[in-house]
Amino acid sequence: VADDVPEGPTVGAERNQTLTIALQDGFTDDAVTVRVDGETVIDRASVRTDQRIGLAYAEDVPAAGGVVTVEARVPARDLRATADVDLRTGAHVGISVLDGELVITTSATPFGYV
Amino acid sequence: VSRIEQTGTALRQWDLDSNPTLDADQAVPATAGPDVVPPPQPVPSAPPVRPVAPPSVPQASGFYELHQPHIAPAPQSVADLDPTGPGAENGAAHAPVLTPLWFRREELRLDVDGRHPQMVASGALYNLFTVQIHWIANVTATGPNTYTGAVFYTNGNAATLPYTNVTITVGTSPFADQRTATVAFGAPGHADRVRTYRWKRSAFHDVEFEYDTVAGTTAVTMFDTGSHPHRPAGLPSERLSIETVYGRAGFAVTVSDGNGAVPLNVAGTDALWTDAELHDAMQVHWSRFTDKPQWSVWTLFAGQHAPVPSQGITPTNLGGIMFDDIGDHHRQGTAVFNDSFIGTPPTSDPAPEAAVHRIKFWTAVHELGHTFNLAHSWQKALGTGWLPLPNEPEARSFMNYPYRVAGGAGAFFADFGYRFSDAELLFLRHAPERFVQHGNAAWFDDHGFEGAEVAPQPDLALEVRVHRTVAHHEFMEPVVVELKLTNVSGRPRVVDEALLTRTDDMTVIVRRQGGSAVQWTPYARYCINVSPKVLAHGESLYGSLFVGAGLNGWALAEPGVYQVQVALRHDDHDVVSNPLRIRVAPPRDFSEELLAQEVFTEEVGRTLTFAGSRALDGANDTLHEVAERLPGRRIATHAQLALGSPLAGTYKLLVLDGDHDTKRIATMAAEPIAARQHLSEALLDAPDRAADTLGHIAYTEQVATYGAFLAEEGRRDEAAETLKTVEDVLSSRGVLTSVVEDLASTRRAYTGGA
Repeated sequence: VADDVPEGPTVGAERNQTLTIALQDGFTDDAVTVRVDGETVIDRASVRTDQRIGLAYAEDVPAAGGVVTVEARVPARDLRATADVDLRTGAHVGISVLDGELVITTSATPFGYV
Repeated sequence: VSRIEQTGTALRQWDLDSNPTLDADQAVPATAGPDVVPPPQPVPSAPPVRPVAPPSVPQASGFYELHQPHIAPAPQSVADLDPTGPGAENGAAHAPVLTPLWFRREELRLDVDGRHPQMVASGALYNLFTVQIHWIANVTATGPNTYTGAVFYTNGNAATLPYTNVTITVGTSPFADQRTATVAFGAPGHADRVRTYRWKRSAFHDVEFEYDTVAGTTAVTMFDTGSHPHRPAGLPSERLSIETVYGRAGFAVTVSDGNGAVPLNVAGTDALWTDAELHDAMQVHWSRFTDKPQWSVWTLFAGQHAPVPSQGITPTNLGGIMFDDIGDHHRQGTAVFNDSFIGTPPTSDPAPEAAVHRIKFWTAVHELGHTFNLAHSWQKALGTGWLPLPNEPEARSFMNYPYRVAGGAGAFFADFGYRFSDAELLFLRHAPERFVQHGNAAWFDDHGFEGAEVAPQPDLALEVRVHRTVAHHEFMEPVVVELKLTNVSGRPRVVDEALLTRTDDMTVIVRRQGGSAVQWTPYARYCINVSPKVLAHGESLYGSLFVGAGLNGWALAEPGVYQVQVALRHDDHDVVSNPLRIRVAPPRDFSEELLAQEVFTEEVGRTLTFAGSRALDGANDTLHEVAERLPGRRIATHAQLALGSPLAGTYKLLVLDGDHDTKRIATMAAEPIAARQHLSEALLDAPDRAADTLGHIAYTEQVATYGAFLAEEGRRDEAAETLKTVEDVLSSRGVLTSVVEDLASTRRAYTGGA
């Protein structure tokens, strides 16, 4: 886990894989920023979880293979989390606010919502 | 703050090793049937199928009910409330009155045996159509058929049931109609309140499901629990239906006969469903649709949901949704999308067809759970829950996502007993009905009488109204409404002539816009002998209600917009009026606000309600001040009337001398001059204003009484002149000719005419 992630895009990396990032539980009209290897891929205001399905927003973003670093921030609540994600075992990332903390989970298969 | 979790699993991986733990459920053996259960898969290492035990009969759990007899006037002791109960036997007959409210029906839900007992008792006290209070107690068995415990939750007016513990004694019997439960409510400093309830049924609630399918789609409403090898070792093999799941949760489930197919074109040309299209389809194709709360819900089995890019929803990642958060009454409809991810088996699943069937069945039960207002297991602590609930991220419940638990979906299903968690069962069985019932909402918001038993084709129509072009009331103006009950049956109907006077069979709800509703509770109830009256078709009965003040205060005191609605119980049905909108104006200046603090008191409320008092001096002082400072205002009419009426005749007053041990009746002489001055100002100075604010019925009665007073004083010409003035006023306002003619007849009698 990196304590800090440098700003700016990854230089020289070929982004030929897809990473699905889902903002899931605990968002209540929050501004949320997600960076992958330092590049901002999601920067949204007013993120709000649909309690019926536990999903606020999801987006497929290009990523380089291997291990990437995902960083999520909710500045207004002073929340921040980072995780190293191995795309060979988990190309799906879920980000939630649970019990006052930002939590990042990964999955090899797509998330489903009901 | 950061935390990292790496599960490495997803919803489609629900196929890990089994876990033998499972509570012991009774089950129904698996048998062949017409549903779409897949054929058994040749699977390795399946746990042995547990023999099915015969179902046991719950001895005590179930729904009990108590209907109160009609008694008037208001009960004076606890035991009076239930003369059939044992209250009089245990010293409660002379207990102090604990509540002024008039309970008509009580419910008890006892949950101490049978399937997944929560060791809880709960109940509700109703006053006609409204819940006065809902209570829940944890109980333990303290003897044969006896359960005792503390009340830990109340919702409603706590003063109506100020008890802290219950002792419940179950009266068992092989005959259902002889089974009872007697509840002794206790509290320090209070005599026990004892009620005996009759057993009604083993289920806690009734509910109805309707399943519709989109053309080309199959409804999965049943699952063979033995069809997949990865299951708890002790799980009975049975053909489990959605109805059975909810039956075990405490519901008596029926499936409506409206099940059918929904044409695919309802979803538009793309065959994908938006929430709005689903809602439209529900309104058209659900045989039970009505935009009001009811224990009924619609499930549509469809192909895929439409993408919602702003939310990240795709046709494949949404397996089902409780789509009905549109309009005033939510949670009435849900959908399952068979062609989403739930239609694809996990990779290398040993029984792929059973796995798909299982997750479709699970999804249908899960979505229906949302319609009962159940949140996801990990969301219990979010928002404002009905109880402070902890999250249950590891719960093996229909409301948890299988892939979210430790070990993923495989671990989930290996330990899943096809049930709801205990916290969810507590909610489903014992939470206040409005929290659970489909389409219900906040306490009385926008629907005052959703519980009314309205006849499909009512014989009577009830109108509540005021006689002014726009229902605007001045600040501090006491609100009087009039009732008109009309026979619309097409044939003569017999009604009680005093039906609109005796308020026992009447419920009046006042709700301020943006606020909660309150029930108007009159200061007095009248014991009037039933006097049958034949109402011809189209004929009406009329009544007047002073709803400005009552036992629960001044309901329309604050400036704002209100809704007044009345329901009347008649011949085992409820006649519900139109909602009357009333706007109360703000005070004109600060001095009115100060005066209002003196007016909106119980003493003034009682004095206005009972047309004056010669005992409540403080109230009379306030009314004098009102009459002097606000002579042109409508409240002055009420004030003058209340000041003058008790002076028009001799007045009997109960006087308590000394230490109140000596009581005597004092007779106070009439003060005709003062009476005439007050009453003339009230009724004749501005007759239209008086008719506006008193209503035609009360105004006519007051004028007739005033005329009789004048005549008795020897002022027959003045009496006749008064009646003539009022006849003209009422005629110009369109009052019934018969009413005007009655006054004219009296007037002629005063002048010696025919």
